[in-house]
Amino acid sequence: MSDRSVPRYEAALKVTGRAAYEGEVPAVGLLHAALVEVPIARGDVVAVDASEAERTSGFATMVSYADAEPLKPSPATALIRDRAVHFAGQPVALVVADTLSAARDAARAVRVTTQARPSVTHMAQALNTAYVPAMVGRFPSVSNRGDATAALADADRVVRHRYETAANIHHPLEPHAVVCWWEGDKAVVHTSTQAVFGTRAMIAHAFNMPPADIRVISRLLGGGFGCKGQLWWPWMFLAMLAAKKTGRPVRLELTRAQMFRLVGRRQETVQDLALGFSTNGCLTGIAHHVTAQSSTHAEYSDATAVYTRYLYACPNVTTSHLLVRTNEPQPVPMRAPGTAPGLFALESAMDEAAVRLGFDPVDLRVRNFADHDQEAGRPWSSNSLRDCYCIGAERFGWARRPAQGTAVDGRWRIGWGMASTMYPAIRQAAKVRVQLAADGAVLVQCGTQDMGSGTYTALGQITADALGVPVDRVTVELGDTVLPDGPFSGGSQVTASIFPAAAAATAKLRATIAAMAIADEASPLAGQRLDDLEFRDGSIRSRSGNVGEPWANVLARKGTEGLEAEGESGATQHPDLTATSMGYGAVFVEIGVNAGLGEIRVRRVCGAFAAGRILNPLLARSQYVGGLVGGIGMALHERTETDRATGRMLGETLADYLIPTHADMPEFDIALIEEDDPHLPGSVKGIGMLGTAGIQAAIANAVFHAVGKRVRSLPIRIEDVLGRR
Amino acid sequence: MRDNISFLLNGRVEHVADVCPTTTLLQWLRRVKRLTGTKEGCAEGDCGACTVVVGRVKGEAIAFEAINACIAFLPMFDGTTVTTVEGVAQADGKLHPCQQSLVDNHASQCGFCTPGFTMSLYALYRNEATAPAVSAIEEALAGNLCRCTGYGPIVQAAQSMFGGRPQAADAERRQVEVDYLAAAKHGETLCITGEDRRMLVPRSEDELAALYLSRPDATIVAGATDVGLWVTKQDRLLNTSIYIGRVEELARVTRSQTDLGVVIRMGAGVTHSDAARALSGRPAALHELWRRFAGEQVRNIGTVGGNIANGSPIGDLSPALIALGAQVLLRRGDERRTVTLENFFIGYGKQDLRAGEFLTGIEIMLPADSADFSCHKVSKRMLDDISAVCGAFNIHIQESRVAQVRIGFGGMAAVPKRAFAVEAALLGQPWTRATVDAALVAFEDDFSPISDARASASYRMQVAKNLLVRTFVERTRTATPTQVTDCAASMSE
Ligand SMILES: Cc1cc2nc3c(=O)[nH]c(=O)nc-3n(C[C@H](O)[C@H](O)[C@H](O)COP(=O)(O)OP(=O)(O)OC[C@H]3O[C@@H](n4cnc5c(N)ncnc54)[C@H](O)[C@@H]3O)c2cc1C
Ligand code: FES
Ligand code: FES
Repeated sequence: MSDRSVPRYEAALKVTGRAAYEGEVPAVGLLHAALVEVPIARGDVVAVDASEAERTSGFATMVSYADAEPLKPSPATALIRDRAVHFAGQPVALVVADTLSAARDAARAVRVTTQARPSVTHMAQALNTAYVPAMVGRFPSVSNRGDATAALADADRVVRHRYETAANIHHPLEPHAVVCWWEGDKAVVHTSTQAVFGTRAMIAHAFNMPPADIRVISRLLGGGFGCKGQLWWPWMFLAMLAAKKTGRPVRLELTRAQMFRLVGRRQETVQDLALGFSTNGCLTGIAHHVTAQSSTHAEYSDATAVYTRYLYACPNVTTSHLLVRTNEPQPVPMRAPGTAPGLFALESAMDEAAVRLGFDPVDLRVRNFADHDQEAGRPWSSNSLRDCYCIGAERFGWARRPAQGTAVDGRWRIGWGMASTMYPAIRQAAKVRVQLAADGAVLVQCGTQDMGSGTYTALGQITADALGVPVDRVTVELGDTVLPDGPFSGGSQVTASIFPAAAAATAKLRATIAAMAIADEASPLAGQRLDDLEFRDGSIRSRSGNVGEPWANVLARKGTEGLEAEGESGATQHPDLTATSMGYGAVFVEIGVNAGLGEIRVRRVCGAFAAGRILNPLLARSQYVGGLVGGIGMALHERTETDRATGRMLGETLADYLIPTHADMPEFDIALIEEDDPHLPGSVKGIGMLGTAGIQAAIANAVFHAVGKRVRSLPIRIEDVLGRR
Repeated sequence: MRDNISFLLNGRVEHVADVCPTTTLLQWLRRVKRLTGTKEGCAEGDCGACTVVVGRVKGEAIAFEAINACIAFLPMFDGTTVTTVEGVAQADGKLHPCQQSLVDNHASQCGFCTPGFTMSLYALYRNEATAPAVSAIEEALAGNLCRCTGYGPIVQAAQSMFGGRPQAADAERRQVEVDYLAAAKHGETLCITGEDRRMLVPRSEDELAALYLSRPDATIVAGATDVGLWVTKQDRLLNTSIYIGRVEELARVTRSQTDLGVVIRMGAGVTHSDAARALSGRPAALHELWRRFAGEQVRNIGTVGGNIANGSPIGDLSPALIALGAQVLLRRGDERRTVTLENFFIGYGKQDLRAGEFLTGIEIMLPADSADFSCHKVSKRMLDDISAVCGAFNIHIQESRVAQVRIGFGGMAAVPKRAFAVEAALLGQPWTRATVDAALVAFEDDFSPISDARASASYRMQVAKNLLVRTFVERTRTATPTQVTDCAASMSE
C-alpha cells in the first residue's frame, strides 16, 4: 500500500484561509438574522409585537410561531410552531434585516409578552417524575441477564457507589450557521450540519415538499461532535421561513452564548452502580442504574449503562435508564455518547473493586475479560482488548507502578490510573461514485460530509489505493445532497461505511479497464489473465508477466471520455449479525496532584487502541489524541450549570466554560493495534469515539492512587481533592 | 482632523471612510472586505480564531504582534499594518513555513481554529530566530483554543517551522511594512463618524485632556479588551469614544532612581506585553503574573491603565500593584493629581474619577529585594483563565521582624483591596509561623468575600489565608524568590 500517513486533503486551504465554511457562502441581497429570546424558563408566549422593531433601520421582516404554524408538526418543528416556552433563553421569533447589527437592534425592539408557569430547573426537583424511555438509542432501556439482585446478595464482595457526571457542551469552534434561499419552490440550504441527507429529509417533512427540491450543502464543517444535527433544525427552519417571506437569501449564525442552549448538550447523569465479586476476583453480578436529564419538549437518552452489558464476563447483569424532564436545554449525543459517562462509573467502580480485592487493576480486568458477547450470545467479530491492556501496560511501564500514595515529584504527588474504553463498530448505507478522466485524473464523490475528522483524506486515500494512483491525482467531493447518498457524521462510522462503497465502485472500474486492456490488441496486456492484473503506480500491470501500461492509455486508445462507476454498501443489520463488532482500548494515565493546592495535572497518557485496520496512522493518532483531550476536559473542567432560580445558564462564555488549552496537555503515547476482522469490510472499525471515553475514570483512579481520595463526580473540582479523606 | 482611516492590509494600503467607528476589525474584514479566512468563534476574545498580526510603531521600535480582531475597533488600526491569514503565503502561493509546518504535522482537523493558530505561529516566527522553548510556545498559543486536535501537533508545528528559513519573501514584506509604518508615524488627529457614532483619536496627552474635558460623556478606549465586549456582547452603543492608543506619552515606561529606591512610571496606555518587557523580569513574581494573564493576543493590546480603570474586583494587576504601593496618576484638563491605588477603588464599579478625568499612568516602587514580593493567581485552568483569588504580598524583613508590609487581594471583595488588618497584625512582629498564624483571623476583618460560579466564599477565605501561610513557608524555606503559584491554595498547610 502507498504511504498511509498522507497529509490532509484540504489542509492547504485551511492554513491559507481559503477554506470556506457554509456560513460564509456569498449571496446577492443577503439578509441577516437575529433570534428573539424569552427569559422565562416555562410558560407560554402571549404575543410577539414587532411594531417597534419595524421602525428600526434596515428591518426586513420577522417570523414567529404564526409563520411556522403551517409547517408539519414533528419534534423538529415543535419548538417553533408552539407558543409553549420550555427553557430560559428559548427563541420565539427571528428578525431579518440588512445588516447583522440592524437585525440585532430590531430583535431587541421586539416586545414579547409571556405568561410564566412554575418550572423545574434541576433534576433533583423532579426525581419523582422519572420515567423509563422506550429505548436508549437502538438498545432497550432496561436489560436483565441472569439474576443480578440475587447475585449481588450472595457476592463475597460488593462495591456499590453513586457516580455523577455534569452537563457538557459540545462547543465546536464554528458556531452553527445557515445561508439559505429559495429558487421558486426549491430550497438551497448551506448549513453546518453533520447530516446533509437527514437535514434534507427533515426540511422535506416540515415544509411538505419533495426531497428532490431541496439541496443541502455542508462542504466544510468547523467541528460538530454531535451537536450539528437535529436541534439546529428549528432555528434553521425559521431562517428558511424568513427567506421565503422576503424572497431574499437569509443568513443566521448562532452566537457563542446560544451554543450553550440551542443545539444540545451532553446530558447530566446520576448513576448507581453495584459490582459483586467472588473472592477470586470474578464478577458475579452487576447492577447499573442511570437517571439522566431530558427536556420537556423532546426525549433523548444516552446509552449510558448499555456498555456495562458487554464489557466484562458476568452471568448476572441488570441495567436501566430513567429520564427526568426539566426546563433545561435538550441533550443530544456528544463525543462518545453513553460510553464517556457510563465507563466513568463502571471503570471507577472496577478500580475501587481492585483496591478492595487486592488485585492489580489490569489483572482484575483481564480476569473478567468477556471472550464473547454475553448479552447477544454470539462471538465477537474481533476483540483485542487484552492486547490493549498488555501493550498499553508495557509501554506505560505499569509493572513499576508505585504503591498507592507513595510517589512524589517535588510538590506533586503522583498517581497512576487506568481504564478500558469501547465503542460499537457500526456502518450505515452509503453510495460512492468514482469517475476517471481520460487523462488519468480521478474524481470521487459522496454526499456525506467531513466534520473535521478527515473524511476527505480517507476517501481520497481509499480511492487512490484501490486504483493504484498517488493521492494527489484524486479530487474528492463531499457534503452535498446532489451527490450520492452518504451517512451522517457521527458514531465514528463514516469511514467504515464509505469504505465498502468506494471499494465496490473502484472494483468495477478496475474490472472494466482490465477487460478493455485484455481485449485491446494494442495493449501490452492483450490476452493476459484477468486475475493476474494489478493497479499500481498509475498503471495496470501483469504480476507475472512484468508488463503493463498506464491505465489512462487504455482509456485514451478507446477514445472514451472517461469511466464512471457507483458502489453501494448497506447498513449494519444488527439483529442478523453473526458476530458483534466493537472497538476497544485501554488508557493509562499519570497525574500529579499539587497536594497543598488541590490542583491536578495530567502528566502523561498512554492509549492502546484496537479498532480494526488503520487506514491512515497520522489521521488515527490525531483523532485519538483529540478524543483523549476531550475526555480530559470532561474529567477536569467542563460543566455547564443552570441557575435554579431563573433557569438561565450560568456563564455563557468560553471564559466561564473552560475547555482544555495547550498548557493542560500531557505527553501522549498512542499504540495502534491493528486487527483483521473477517466480518467487517476492509476490517474497518470507527475510531473517533474510543479516545474520548475511559480516560475520565483513569484520571479519577489516578487521583485516588496519588492522594487516596475517591472522586465520583465529574468534573473533578479542586475542592474534591482537598477535602478530608 | 482626518475623517478616514488608512492602514496597510496584507501589503496593500486601505482607505476607509464612512464606517461606524465601533465596527470591529473582524466585522470589517469578514463583511466588508469579504476576507473570511479570519474566523469568528466567540466574538469575546476567548478563542483566538480571529487572530491577526498587527505591526505598530512603539517609540523608536516597531513591533509585530498577534491580537484578537473580534473585539478591536477598526479606527484603532489607523497607521498600522495588519496581516491576516490570507496574507501569509507568498505571492506565488507557496506556503509560509508556519503554514507548511501545520500541514506537515497534521495540526488541522476541522480547521476552524487553524487561521488563528496560523497567525499566532506567524507572529512567533517573525519575532523569534529559532524554535523557542515549549513553555514559550505554550504562552504564545494560550489564547488559541482548538477542540479537535489536542494541540500536540500544533506545538510540533511551532517547533519544526524554524528549520530552514526561506527569508527572502519575509524580508521583502517586512521592508514594505517598515516603510509604511515609518511614513505613518506622525499622523494627525482622527475623528471617525458613522451611524451616528463618533470616535476621536488624539495624538498627544494635552489634546486628549482637552477633548475629554469637553466631552466628559465619551468612553475612553485603550485596548478595548473590555470595551470591545460591551459592544459585541452587550450590544452597548458607544456614541462618543476616545481612543488613547495613539497618545505617545501614555505608552512610555520610565525608570528613575530615587533615595528610596527604583521608581517605575508606566503610562496608562502601555500594553501588558510591553510592560512585562520593560520590567525585564523584575520583580520575578510580577513577571510570572503577566505570564498567567489572559492570552498573548489580549496581553498585546490590553493596557495597564485599562486593567485598573475598569475597576474589576478580579482584575489581576491591581492586587499586585497595591502591594507595590502604586500611585495612580490622574489628569483632568490641566489639573493633575495622584491617588494611592487602594483609595482609587471606591466601590463595585465605582472609581475615584471625576468627569473628564483619566489615568495617565501609575508609579510603583520596586521592592529593594525582589524576594520581598510574591503574588499568587489562583485559577482552575493553567493559562488564560480568570482568577478566583489573586493575592500579592510585599513584605520586608529586617532583623527577623516585619519591617514593612503591604498586601493586596483581588476576588475577595467588591473591589481590589488592601489587607490593612492583616498588615497591622504582622507589622513589627517577629517573622515566625506563630505571627503568621495569629494574623490569619485578621482576614475576617479585612474581607467578606462572596460565592460565585468560580469559588465559594468559604473557599476564597481559606485560600486567602493559605496564601499568607504559603508565602511564609516559601520564604523561610528557600532564599529564591517566590513564584506565582499554579492553582488553588492549600486547605491543610
Ligand atoms: C480573553 C480575555 C482574557 C482576559 N484575561 C484577563 C486576566 O487574566 N486578568 C485580568 O485582570 N483581566 C483579564 N481580562 C480583562 C482585560 O483584558 C484587562 O482588564 C485589560 O487590561 C483591560 O485593558 P484595555 O486596555 O483593553 O481596556 P479597555 O477595554 O480599553 O478599557 C477598560 C475600561 O477602562 C477605561 N479606561 C481605559 N483606559 C483608561 C484611562 N487611561 N483613563 C480612564 N479610563 C480608562 C475604559 O473606559 C473602560 O471603562 C481579559 C479579557 C479578555 C477579553
Ligand atoms: S472570535 Fe474568539 S477570540 Fe475573537
Ligand atoms: S481543528 Fe477543529 S478546532 Fe482546531
